[in-house]
Amino acid sequence: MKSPLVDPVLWPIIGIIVVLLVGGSVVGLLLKRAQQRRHGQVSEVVQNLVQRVNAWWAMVVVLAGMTLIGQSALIFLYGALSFFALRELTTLTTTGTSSKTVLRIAFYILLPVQYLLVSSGWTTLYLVFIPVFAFIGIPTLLSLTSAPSGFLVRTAKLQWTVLVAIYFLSFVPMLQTLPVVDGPAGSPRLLVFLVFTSQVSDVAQYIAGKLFGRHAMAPHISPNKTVEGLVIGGGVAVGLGALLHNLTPFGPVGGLLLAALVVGAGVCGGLVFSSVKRSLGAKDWSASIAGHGGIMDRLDSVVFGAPLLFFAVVLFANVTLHNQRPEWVMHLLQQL
Amino acid sequence: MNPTPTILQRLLRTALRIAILLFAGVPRLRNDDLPAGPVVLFAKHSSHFDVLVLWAAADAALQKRLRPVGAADYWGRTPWLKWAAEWVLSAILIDRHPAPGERPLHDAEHALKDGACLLIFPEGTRLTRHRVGPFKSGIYWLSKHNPDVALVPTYVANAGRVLPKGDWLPTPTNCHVVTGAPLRVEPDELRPAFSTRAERAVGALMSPDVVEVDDDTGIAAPASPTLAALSSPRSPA
Repeated sequence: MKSPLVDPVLWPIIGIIVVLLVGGSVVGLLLKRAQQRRHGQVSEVVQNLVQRVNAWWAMVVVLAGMTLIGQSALIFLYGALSFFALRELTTLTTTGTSSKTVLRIAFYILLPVQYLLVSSGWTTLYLVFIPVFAFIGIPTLLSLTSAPSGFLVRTAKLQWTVLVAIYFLSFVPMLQTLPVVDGPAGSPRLLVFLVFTSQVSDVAQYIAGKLFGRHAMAPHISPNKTVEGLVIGGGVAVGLGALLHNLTPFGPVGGLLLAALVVGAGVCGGLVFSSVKRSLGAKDWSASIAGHGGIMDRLDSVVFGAPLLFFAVVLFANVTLHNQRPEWVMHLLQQL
Repeated sequence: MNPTPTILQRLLRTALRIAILLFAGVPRLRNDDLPAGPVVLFAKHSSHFDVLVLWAAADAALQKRLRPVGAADYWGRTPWLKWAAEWVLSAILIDRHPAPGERPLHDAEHALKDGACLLIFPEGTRLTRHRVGPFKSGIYWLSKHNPDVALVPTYVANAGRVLPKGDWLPTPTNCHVVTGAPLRVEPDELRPAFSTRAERAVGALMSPDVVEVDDDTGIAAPASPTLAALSSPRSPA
């Protein structure tokens, strides 16, 4: 893979990200100073802002570093995030001792295999490994090892966590392997598009909601999400996505639609994961990241966006999926 | 205070800490949240992971004075195990079946005079994770003989899910350490009364905001004291 730095399309966007983050840090610092001078203490909102900006810095630095090192580093990074996400989800969605074997298989077999398949070139197997093979295996194993009570509930909990934490999340590094026409192969354009659009959408909705929010969108699930926030904040993110259309294989209108897809997926993710969280009685998924709650609190906006973006590009752009079986599989097939 | 660790000790401890946290998330226990003088953390024991999680959760200041207390007959079975317990975890191993006249808690009391923070599992062995007790008499006598020691009820949530008794392959689960208000033995308090009080203090830490039904048994189990612990690091006693 060529270094993404040779992809000139990415330069302006990297510039924009750095400017935004520097701006965020400066604003945070100024607000902190002003409040300290006036009230002698810093309000919770400003502290939250500073922590968020700091976590974004860390995110951008890690993501950029991993992308520069190469595709396998990026895959490893998302493999680790998947591991943390799965740990977080299974901690809260307790499934009882009978599910232990399946949980371990998810951690020690399904997760590594899925991420090895990302870069294997055997994309067809990558796509069906979890939704077909694992989802037949999980209930079979459960029925072999446990009593029937609560069977469907247990199966649903396990399959859903595996689907979300392993399968959906693995599409983020998968986006980089898509051979998009007339872009340098292996350039992280789509990945940058996804992460940037969804994060901007998150923060724009948060700010717009604080400033103009009147009508709660889903009062029982996320009291902070407002219709005004969604329309204004989401609109900003969609407009930005249209400007960044040359990161995608489409023109301005296509870019706008893709951005709308990513923003919409982020909203759906936020709602769905809030529902799960609230049904389990928690405010945050865990306390892993300062100012951000748990891993899932940050990833809920890309978890649905990644597979949707992947399939939107596969369905509507000139992309061919590979069915490139590894050497040893071909060798084995010849023996049969 | 524990002796300053050598470079090799530091490396080993960091590696072990990372390995534990891979399976146990980011539990935290801050020295500032504990009383300043000699402290005994007494905790529910459901897994070997209890002691590891608590040890890994300690912040730098607490690491300097944390001493897990273990049974010599269990941890001294092989030289390697004894070495790992004493040299890596700075554990104090005590004789569970002392000869008459011997004082098995001598080393522990000595460490307490030095301002140590002992970690004791008064159940004496790993029991089921849904119920506390019965406690053995060790912490009663420790407090009786050393009235300045603060006994802090402690609960390591979810450690029993990572590595239930009898398992060898851990199931990654986020763990949390919860502590309650310190106890002391009252001047004329008898052992059974104190034990009940101590067991209740640990049990109160388990009592959850959320009661989740175990899908296997249909029994409502205190699945996630973690959730209560998240909003307030020191949950009400």
